[in-house]
Amino acid sequence: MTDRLLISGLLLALLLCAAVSLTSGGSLTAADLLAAGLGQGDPRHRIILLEIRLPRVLLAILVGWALGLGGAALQALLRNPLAEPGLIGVSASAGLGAVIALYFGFGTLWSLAPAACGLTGAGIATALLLGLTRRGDSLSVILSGIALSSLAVALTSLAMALAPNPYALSEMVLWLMGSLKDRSLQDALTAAPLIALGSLLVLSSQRGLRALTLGEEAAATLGIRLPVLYLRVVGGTAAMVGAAVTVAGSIGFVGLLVPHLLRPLTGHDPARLLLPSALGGALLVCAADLVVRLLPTAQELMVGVLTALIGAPFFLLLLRRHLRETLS
Amino acid sequence: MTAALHLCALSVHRQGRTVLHPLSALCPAGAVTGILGPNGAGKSTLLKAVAGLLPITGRVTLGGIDLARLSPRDRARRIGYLPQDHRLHWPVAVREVVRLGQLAHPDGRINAAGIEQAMADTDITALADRPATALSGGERARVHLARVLAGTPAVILADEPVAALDPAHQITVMELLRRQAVHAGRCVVLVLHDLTLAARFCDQVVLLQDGRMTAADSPRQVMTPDRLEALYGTRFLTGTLNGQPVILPTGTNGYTSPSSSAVSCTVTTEISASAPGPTVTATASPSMRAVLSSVSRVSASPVCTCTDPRRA
Repeated sequence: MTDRLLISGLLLALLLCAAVSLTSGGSLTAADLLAAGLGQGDPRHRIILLEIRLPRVLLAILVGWALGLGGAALQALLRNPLAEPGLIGVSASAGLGAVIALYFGFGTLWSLAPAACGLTGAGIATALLLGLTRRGDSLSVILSGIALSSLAVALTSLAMALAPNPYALSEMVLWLMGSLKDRSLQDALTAAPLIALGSLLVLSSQRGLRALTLGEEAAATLGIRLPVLYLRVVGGTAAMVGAAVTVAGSIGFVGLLVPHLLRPLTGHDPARLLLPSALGGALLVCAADLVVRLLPTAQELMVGVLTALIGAPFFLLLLRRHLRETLS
Repeated sequence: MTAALHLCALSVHRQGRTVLHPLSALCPAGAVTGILGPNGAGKSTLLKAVAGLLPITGRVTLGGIDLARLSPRDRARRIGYLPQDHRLHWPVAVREVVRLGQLAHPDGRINAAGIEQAMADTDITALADRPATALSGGERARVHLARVLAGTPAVILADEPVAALDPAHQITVMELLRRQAVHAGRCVVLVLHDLTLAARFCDQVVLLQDGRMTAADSPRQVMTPDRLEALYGTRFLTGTLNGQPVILPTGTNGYTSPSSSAVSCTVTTEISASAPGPTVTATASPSMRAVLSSVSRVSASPVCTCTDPRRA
């Protein structure tokens, strides 16, 4: 399949999914929504469209884009199909930041406090990670990521164990599960610049990621500055994923599953996979969020739970097929 | 492309230890230079140092230009490096792997004809659309060689380029590398363990032992039985077969292969135009006769006659 066809198809599906998501649910008719979109009609309809549904769809696209692109970039950089954005410890650190904000009840003082603390956590983790991995080799990225991740998870568990009240604990748990519910345009605007910056860093590293197919030594002899490549890709992924986790909690399996699904369609070329993976991630999170919104459950399901529920078995099926192909 | 590679007091230190002692050598353009030595002598280290993969003291110049002053991309355009390890991390198609050889070209310009030519030269055109990870070790080695050739570098550094190849492809690849030097004017530097191939295809050989250069000259001058024994710690028989040099390790107590009685000798030389039929006559030198008799445990006649399957 040509890249243009794949990207066009994914883009079309994403636009369709976003349109369905904007127009589904509730009793609003198409005419109501059109009027609201044009700034006319019932002001309540405008609030529903522009302040509830639109931020949610935008965030789904942004977060999915970040996770899909981050997953593909890390898998290419570390040359490991099991790498995913959570591996570098930035997600867990962003989660820790948000949990600390919820622990001290900052959220009641300022609604964006969990996001701000999440970003701070992600920023500190990114700085540490870049400091530890500036030599430019995959092992130091993986080991530093595991260490940071474990530390952040341990501190998060500690905060939860010492939660001042059951309400704070439930807030932490729900936040960590990952959801796009009740987010505002402000959340989308917080995440967008960092995700844009991260995307720029990652998408401009295609030459280096392609060269790494041959391993670090051969890539270096093809004119790739490995320390610079590592800084760009790890820094870019950290910026994107930190921002995504900050506004939406941790949404699992997207960064692992999407690159896997699309890799055969891009000739297994790690550079060609980046853009389709970003669009695929956006499509998956947008679709998953639409499903959790439309499912008739007593309490809305967390989108992170759904992506993991669908993603894990699907991943196992893929793995089984892969093993069968390898053995035959 | 007539730039010579000049190593000036090149040395490599790792973790406070000198792994390559200062050495100076000239690898001329249009010639094949072989680097020989036992395991751990510093051959791959030398090649990596020239490729820019290791920090060095001293200088490496190409046509008078200090390689350290070039950007990594400019350096990559001039130096093609074929590592010992032919690893591939994704099942990318063979043609895409070969295309990577042109990654350092200005503005990512791809010369499709160069890619096809490199694949044809290395006999992998038929494999072009197959995933490179599904190939055998020897096929993959040729894919990586094609990748280096596709970049049309002034210098080709190859670390054991024929180690994984069958005998026919060993000859094809060595002939190809020689053509790259002689016809395209490239400077070709190879790490080799096959001394017969080194003697046959190299214009000069550099001997390394314990990180020190012990000799650098033409194979005839350098690859003497005594010198090779001092280098590798085992005895060698040297001679010629059909005018081609042959160097065989015999062990310190003579040839001791358990299956030596089954060993046969194949003459792969070109047959002279005057030979009328399928019968080829090869004349063995006294030292070669000694090899043949030690291999077959029977006395070898100075003239052996065999049948050329191409003419039968």
